[in-house]
Amino acid sequence: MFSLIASSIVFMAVQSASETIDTCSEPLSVAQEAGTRTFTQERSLVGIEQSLVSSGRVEVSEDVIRWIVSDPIEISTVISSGGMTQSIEGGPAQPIGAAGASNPLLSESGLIKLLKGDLTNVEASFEVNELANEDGWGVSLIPKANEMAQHVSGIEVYGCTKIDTIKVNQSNGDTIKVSFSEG
Amino acid sequence: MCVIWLVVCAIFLIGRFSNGVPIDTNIQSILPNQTLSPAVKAAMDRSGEVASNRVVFLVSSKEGDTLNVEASNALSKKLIEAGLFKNDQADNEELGRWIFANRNELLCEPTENFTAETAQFIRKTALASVYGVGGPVTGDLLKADPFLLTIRLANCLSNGVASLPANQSMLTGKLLEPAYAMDTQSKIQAVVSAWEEEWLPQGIELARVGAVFHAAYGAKSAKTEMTFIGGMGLIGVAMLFWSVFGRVLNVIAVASLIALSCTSGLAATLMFYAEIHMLVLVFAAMLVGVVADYAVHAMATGVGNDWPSEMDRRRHLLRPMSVSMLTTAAGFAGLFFLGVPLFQQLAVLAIVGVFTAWALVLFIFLPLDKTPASNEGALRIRWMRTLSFATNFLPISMQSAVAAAVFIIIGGIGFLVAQPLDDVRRFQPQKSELVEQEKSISNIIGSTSSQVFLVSKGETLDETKQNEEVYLEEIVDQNVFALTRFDPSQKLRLANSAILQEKLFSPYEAAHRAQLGAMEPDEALDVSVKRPSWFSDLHVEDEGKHYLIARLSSAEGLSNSEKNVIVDTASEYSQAFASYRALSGRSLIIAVCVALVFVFIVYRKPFALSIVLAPAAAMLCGIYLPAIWGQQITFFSMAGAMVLFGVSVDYSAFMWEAGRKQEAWTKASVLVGAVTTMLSMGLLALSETLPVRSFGITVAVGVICALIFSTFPYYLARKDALNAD
Repeated sequence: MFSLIASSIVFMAVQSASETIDTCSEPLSVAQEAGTRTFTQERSLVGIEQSLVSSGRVEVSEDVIRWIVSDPIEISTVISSGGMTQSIEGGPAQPIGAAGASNPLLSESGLIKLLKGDLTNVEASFEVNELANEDGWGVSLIPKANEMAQHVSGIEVYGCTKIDTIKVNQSNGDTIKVSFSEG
Repeated sequence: MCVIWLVVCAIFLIGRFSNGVPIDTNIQSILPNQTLSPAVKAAMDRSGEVASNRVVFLVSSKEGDTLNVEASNALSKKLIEAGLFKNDQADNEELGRWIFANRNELLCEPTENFTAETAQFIRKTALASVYGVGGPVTGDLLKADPFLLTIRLANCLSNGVASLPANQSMLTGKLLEPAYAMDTQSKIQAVVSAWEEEWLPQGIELARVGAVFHAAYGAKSAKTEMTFIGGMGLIGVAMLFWSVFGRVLNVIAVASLIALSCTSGLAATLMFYAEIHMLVLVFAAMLVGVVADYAVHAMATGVGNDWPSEMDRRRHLLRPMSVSMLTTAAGFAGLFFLGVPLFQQLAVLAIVGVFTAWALVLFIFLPLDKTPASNEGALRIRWMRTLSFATNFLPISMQSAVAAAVFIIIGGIGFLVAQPLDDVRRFQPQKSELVEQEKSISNIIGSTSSQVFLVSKGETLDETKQNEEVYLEEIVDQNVFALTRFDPSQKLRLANSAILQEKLFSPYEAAHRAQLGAMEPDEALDVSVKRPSWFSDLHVEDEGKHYLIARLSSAEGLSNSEKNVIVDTASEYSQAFASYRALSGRSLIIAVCVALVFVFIVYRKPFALSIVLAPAAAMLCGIYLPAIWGQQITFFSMAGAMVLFGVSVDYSAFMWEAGRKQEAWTKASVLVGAVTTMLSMGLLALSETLPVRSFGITVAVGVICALIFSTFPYYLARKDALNAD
């Protein structure tokens, strides 16, 4: 019985997965979508044993991304075409420079666009290859420009109807993995 | 004799110029402020050079686009490939290493302003960089610098460049060739234009700041003006000579006489002085007017007197030209009494130049200016036409007296309302587009073109640093660019280090490291550090003393102290021009007084003093009459007046002699001489550049007055002659 139940569960799971995959979008047509999602960011730095994990929510509107970290510290980062500001623990929003928009990791890697959930036209700046992903699709993005390659060796993006996970592999071996979920 | 002298002069000048141009173009040489030590002046020189060679480009793309990064890199690459530019990026790596190595002894704020709240904020900001989005953190950095002080210092010391939005890139650096060289200007314009052709159609915008761009605009503007004004003047003089003398070749003869007189004057000056200042050459324009006048008189003695013999022509010229030459020379000799090298150089140049012109015209030009082989009659008709016009134009009548009185009254009113203008910042026209671009960049990184400096001095470098730090502590200036911000004194380093330890490291370091898992490394991060090369631009060592130069955004409310001097370069130059304007005024008075004494000695007649008084009145009208329509008096107005003195003494001397001998031809030659001066120098009144315009207006107005006033020596000489008869 357990095997029957188990097989039915497996069957249901496979059926569910199959249905999900069938309904996944083409990765390169996944465009920015306004709304709020939660995220978990896991940062692995070479030489630091523990992963630096933070979580919070991201609010995406047409022009602005609000990246709000609630744990382990409250940080509200607003990224817009006018620049980048940051407020820490309810403090005043202050423009941030080298640690923000002028940081090549953000300004040159296309990461801001990915954080908005937008994969359209990504092939203009990256060489795009498919990656296996049982739950949907996966693409690997290899920067075309040398300037960008100095900072980012590659980006892996996984998702189905939206971007679910972004993993940035920095050239120095550091990684940043951001997983999104609804809620 | 004359030819030998000119050959000697030419050989001498070739010798002098082959060892480098002996013309002092350094504007600082004219600074009369004796309170500045040579070292401070050297510091100003250095800081001025560094400031003038700075260039900043702001490359912007449309909102949401980051094409600016690629465009900015392309511009940098093109400029570097042209051998013109050193990108600060090359220094930034060096500076980054320096900041990292010194992070525990540097602060963004004054030491006493570093509070517990500041420390708390630093800790939280470091956490935000780690846990926020995309902070530029590495494991090695975090272990060595857990509070990310290096990033904080890089942000605050970069004056906001790092806070640019993603669609803007700032490209800063220094020119590798002098900004004021025309070659550099044309090269950089070519590179930027080629880049603009490629990138502007893609929606990229470019703002630029740098003395090189203003200089390029100034040079282009001057070139256009010189082509237009110079061309118009040359065509005008050629047409004038053709219509009066029927010989365009006479223009070449006059040009040669001017060149030879200038050669002689320049050579003589350089025999007495190691270098000649370029402003002397501005005054030397007077020679152009005087030589042209002498030549015109010489030409007129031929056609105006039925081509008499060379001897007769010389006889016509000798007395008035000699009186004119000696009066002008005596006037300029008076400049020696000022005791200022610039005016002494001018005196030598003017006296020798005027004497050479006199000799050349009398003994070289006259023998060469032969009676025409044909069309003598036609040339005579042309001359008679001019003479008739001159007689009508310069009547010895009540009309002339009324006209002169009107000019003098208006000149007098002008004297009452005249305002001086010595502010060098208003001398050069600036392209509005460049001014707007400069504003947009200044809004981001503060003033980039400030010429206000704090010069601190001390016996040792460390003492000098302390003096600079003490002064800067007292002032509020967000855009200070000072060495001690990057490399403070030992005293301040210790204080900074202590406060960081007390407020930041002791209370938070252990917990902070534990939270991040960033334990202290077993070995310190191996970072090779050398002192950034540009630090030396802010430090001058002279005669065992040390000087530091800090750039400030304004001198307002600042005063000098025992160890610190505020140098507002533009104000210094403005004061220098004010001082020289006053000195020029005095030199004109001296010139007039000496000339009066000389003329009285020569003629021993009170009426003859009109030979000097008429030009003196013309000079005053040339300077002050334009004030009626708001023209301000500058140093260059005085230079114009000096020209006027040279030429109008000549008009008066000839008119006096003409009145005495009842000759008619002189009026025509004086009129032609005046129109020549007007065309060669008066047209400069059309210039956009204030010094040139100021000079031109004074000459233009003054020459008209000199012409009208010259009828008085004629009238008085005639009256004197009649009385004698």
